[in-house]
Amino acid sequence: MTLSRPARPAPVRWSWPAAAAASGRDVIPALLALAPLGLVVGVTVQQTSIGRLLGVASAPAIFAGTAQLSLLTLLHSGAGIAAVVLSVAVINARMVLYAAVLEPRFRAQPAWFRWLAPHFVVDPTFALVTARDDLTDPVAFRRYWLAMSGMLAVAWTALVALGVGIGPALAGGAGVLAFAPVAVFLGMVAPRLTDRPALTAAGVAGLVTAGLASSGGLPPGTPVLVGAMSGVVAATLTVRTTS
Amino acid sequence: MTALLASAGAVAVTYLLRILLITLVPAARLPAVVQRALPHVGPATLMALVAAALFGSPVGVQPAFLVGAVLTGAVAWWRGNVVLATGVGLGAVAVFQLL
Repeated sequence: MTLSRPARPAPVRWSWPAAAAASGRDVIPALLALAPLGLVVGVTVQQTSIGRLLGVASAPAIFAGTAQLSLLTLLHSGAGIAAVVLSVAVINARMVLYAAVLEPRFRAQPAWFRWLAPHFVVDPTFALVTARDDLTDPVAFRRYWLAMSGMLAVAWTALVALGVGIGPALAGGAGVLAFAPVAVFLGMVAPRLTDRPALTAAGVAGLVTAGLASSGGLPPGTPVLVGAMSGVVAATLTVRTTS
Repeated sequence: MTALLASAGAVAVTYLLRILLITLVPAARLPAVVQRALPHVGPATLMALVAAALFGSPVGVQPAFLVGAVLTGAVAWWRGNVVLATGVGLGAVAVFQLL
């Protein structure tokens, strides 16, 4: 996938094959990011008493790897249902931000799509859709979103199942694989850092998150949420100051 | 039964977070100041995810990952190609770990 910076093109109504081809090309780097986490979730399912069927089946149902990993480890440690659900809510709170950004693209969609399709709002889908400037046509967005989400859901479930089956055998490449999410998300964000607000948002978010994450002690997901919100506030203040 | 109920609760709360500002209370109804802040969510959250992965690892900060991150960011910014940047970054980490 190439992230260019051209002027906004006229809306294009994609056919299903065009949407599937475009989403297929975009999904490849996202799969790189998902692979380590999917395998780790699968290995964790195998190591806990949750059961393989429930563990693999809940992968597309939750569709959020870090949250599922937290669920598995908390259940394994004997945590109660309320504690597990609260932890998942904290970890996935950033999806409210994603939803707010993506809402204009869902506004002109049919009701079934506005109720069902947000299930696929997650880091890679958010990053891929916001990197494209050719999805202004509602039909094009709907077809691209369904094709991309469908591929990711199938691949994510397969990765978790693979982790259940052969995860321990892949331990040799774990070090390099663990870097894949960093590389993919960095590759997606770097081309967008072309103006002062974007640089401020990314810089402040990175610094705050790094500080909170390295200090430890906070619930999983909290450093990302607090860091991201700090970056958004700083960038908004930058725009107001310069204007 | 606990695992089943906890998984169902996780699915429900995650779905609620996802539809909250799309279907239940569309973001268009949010105050203007919040709507002005939304374009900054992308760069901020993606960089926060990167920082958490680099600095929040249970095994501590890994120098190979820092080197890989610098190279990945530089190539991505220079060429705007995610696949190329990811390949360079992963290759750098693999080489660094072999040394």
